[in-house]
Amino acid sequence: MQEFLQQLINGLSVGSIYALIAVGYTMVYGVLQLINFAHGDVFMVGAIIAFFVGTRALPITFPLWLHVAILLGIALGLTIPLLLGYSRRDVLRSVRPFVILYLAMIALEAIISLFSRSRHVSVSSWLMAALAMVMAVAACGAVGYVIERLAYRPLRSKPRINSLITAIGISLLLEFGGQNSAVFGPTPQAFPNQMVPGINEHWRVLGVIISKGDVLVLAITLALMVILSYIVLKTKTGLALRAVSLRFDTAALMGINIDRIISFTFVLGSALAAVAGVLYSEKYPSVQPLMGLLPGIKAFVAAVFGGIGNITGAVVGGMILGLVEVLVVGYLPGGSQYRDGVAFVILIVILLVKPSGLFGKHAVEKV
Amino acid sequence: MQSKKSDSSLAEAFDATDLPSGAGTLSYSNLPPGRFRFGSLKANLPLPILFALLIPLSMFVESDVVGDYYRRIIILAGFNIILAVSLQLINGFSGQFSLGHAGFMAVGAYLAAYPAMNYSQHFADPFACLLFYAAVAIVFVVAGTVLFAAFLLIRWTRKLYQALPMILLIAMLIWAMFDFARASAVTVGNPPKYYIWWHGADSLVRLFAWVTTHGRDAAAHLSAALPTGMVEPLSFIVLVLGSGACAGAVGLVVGMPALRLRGDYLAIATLGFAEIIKIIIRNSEPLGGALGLVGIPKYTNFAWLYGAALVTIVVIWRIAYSPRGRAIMAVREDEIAAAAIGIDPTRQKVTAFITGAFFGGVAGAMFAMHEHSITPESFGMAKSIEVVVMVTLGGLGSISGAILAAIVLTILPEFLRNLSPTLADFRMVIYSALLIVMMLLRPQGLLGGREIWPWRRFRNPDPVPTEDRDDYQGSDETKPD
Repeated sequence: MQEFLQQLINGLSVGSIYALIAVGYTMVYGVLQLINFAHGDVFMVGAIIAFFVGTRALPITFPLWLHVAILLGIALGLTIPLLLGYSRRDVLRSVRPFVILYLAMIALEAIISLFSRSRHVSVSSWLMAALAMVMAVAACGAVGYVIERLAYRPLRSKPRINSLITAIGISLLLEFGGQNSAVFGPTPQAFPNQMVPGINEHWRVLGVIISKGDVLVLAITLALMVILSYIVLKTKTGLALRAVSLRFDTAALMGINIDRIISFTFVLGSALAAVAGVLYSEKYPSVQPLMGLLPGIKAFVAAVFGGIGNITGAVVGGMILGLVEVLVVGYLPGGSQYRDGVAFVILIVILLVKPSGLFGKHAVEKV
Repeated sequence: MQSKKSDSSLAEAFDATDLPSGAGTLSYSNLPPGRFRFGSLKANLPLPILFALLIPLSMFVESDVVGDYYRRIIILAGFNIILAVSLQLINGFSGQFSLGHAGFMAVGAYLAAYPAMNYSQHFADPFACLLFYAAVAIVFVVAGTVLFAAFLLIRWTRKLYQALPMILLIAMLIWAMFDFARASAVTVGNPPKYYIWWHGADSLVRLFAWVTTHGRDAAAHLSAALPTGMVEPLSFIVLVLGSGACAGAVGLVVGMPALRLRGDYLAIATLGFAEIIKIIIRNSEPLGGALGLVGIPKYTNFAWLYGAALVTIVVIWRIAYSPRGRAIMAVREDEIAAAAIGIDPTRQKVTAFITGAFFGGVAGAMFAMHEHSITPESFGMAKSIEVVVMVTLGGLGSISGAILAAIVLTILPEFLRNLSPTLADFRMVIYSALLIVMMLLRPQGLLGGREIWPWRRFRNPDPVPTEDRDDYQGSDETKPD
């Protein structure tokens, strides 16, 4: 029984990571009817950025290339839309958060370098962990925006198969780019998860060992889900998002700026994927450029399981998938070999028996 | 269905003589029944010429003029041509976006490598290989019948309660998993009687062993009776065709359920099937597990490979630009409209899928008998995606485009590698960036549904998928059924 409870907590924490990724898939599918194949790789980018922040750059300064990259990104983000004919106000408004973020980054650098004496040593501090998270979220948000802007928006009126191919192209680009030794290199590296204080400790409640890392994952997921549901259900942007996912062209007629909403969806989904990436690599501390493939596909399975396009469904699907996976590994002799197969079997059973998923609506095709 | 007479009014509008019309009667030719027409001389002349050209070409490629490095690139291009052309039938002509072609390749490769190592005695025993495939077929049919009957029974329970089939299916899967796991863990060799699933699998293995051991002597006698010069090529052909047929059977198994889905869902489902195949191979002891099979006898050479590529191209060209191909394309254009004029969409889709899978398996078999060793990792998602990229870059619905793209994309990474050492590090990045740029600038691919030599093509000069047409309004109901 105690073992079962332990497995349950483990499964829920794995599942909540899947849920975070799945929400991104499901939101993008909701508005665009497109599977964002690159989503798993955005997850990987998040983990790698956090890895860089945790090991190489901090606590003294960010490396020069990061400054250059971010400044270049901001400059391009300013000039390219202007050249493409977007109004100056819109462009400035969309770049503003990144500028603020960069200023915050410099400020943090200053603060940390004031208080820290160690150099190139992974220290255990909440500030560091939070910084890694924030950096990952910011970078992935930007990556998500750029992906949508460059690869999906020009093809929006074309057949979806083309978007699928560009999505695969983006995914390959991120993977091969990461595998390049100038960026990260193909070999897996240890994620500095000790920067989260007490990540490897555990509590003992009534004989059940509860890892602090699992609790952290669950808590962060829960908080993010509350924030997400607030955004989707209570804000004006959330209302627009729901309107766009309900009916694309009618939403445009109601005065909703569809491009902005879609960009927002991508940024939001990518940010959640970044959080998932950091949490995942804190749980399984090994980072490599291909790490996004399997979690990405599993999260997609979770999204389909819950009914794609439905955010609650994605969360529930992710949790169930994580639980099933952990239980198969825990209770089947030799089950660990079939760990990755479980998701695919679930996917195929679901697609055969109830393709609309647990919470999905049954759409009948009309002539 | 109506009689022939009421069809005739539609004949002009739909060119219905070429489409299946009437219940059960398929008239695939516009000639009166009973007469068989050989292809016209003009259309068929290039084939013997091309096959004859293979001999001097292979002498050239196998000679020392072409180094090992270039020979390897040429051979790799051959595999990619077969894969791309066979996937073109699935993705381009039938419009079913499959992302699992490497799975079929894996089936072909392993089911050729295993008998090549254990049955063929270095290609000296073609009938033993045949026996192996016969045993596989028997086991496949028995297991398939039982599972299909069970599936039908479970499906029938939908009448009792809507969600009952899903519950039963999941329960059955979990039961089977626990059954297998417990039986293999607790008592190796002799589990108690009530482990039904374990016993089912065990008896299938025993059936297979029984067939192969009892037929082996007869096979050896038959092989000994063959003229010595024929033995090796015959073994090779048996291995290639047999493993191709196995891949086709897997294509049937995958296709029957998966083809009910469409678009992205189908892509993911086929990807899932390919991964499941990989995981099964990785966990199966006779197939070498994660380490793979090492020491496969080598037989594939330039002539065999490009001969197979030619056959693939010819067969798929003939299917695609025949009345059946027109039916397949009609399903791609609009499933409901195709069904309304008497085409069975599932049948056409499954036909395309099985044919594609067969040739994927052939490519895999050739690959296995060219490499010294194969591992499950060589048939991963990356390989599937590579083939899909070839097909899409070449242009969906264009066989010559697929060939062109297969050649270009095999050479391109090597070309970038040789260009400069700094570029070599970035060659895969360039490759993927090129894919994106290509999709943005020329979404229809290199040839965009046309052929280089458009002979024997449609009367419709430019078959463009409905979704690509300028006046296409887009459908709102794109969600899966």
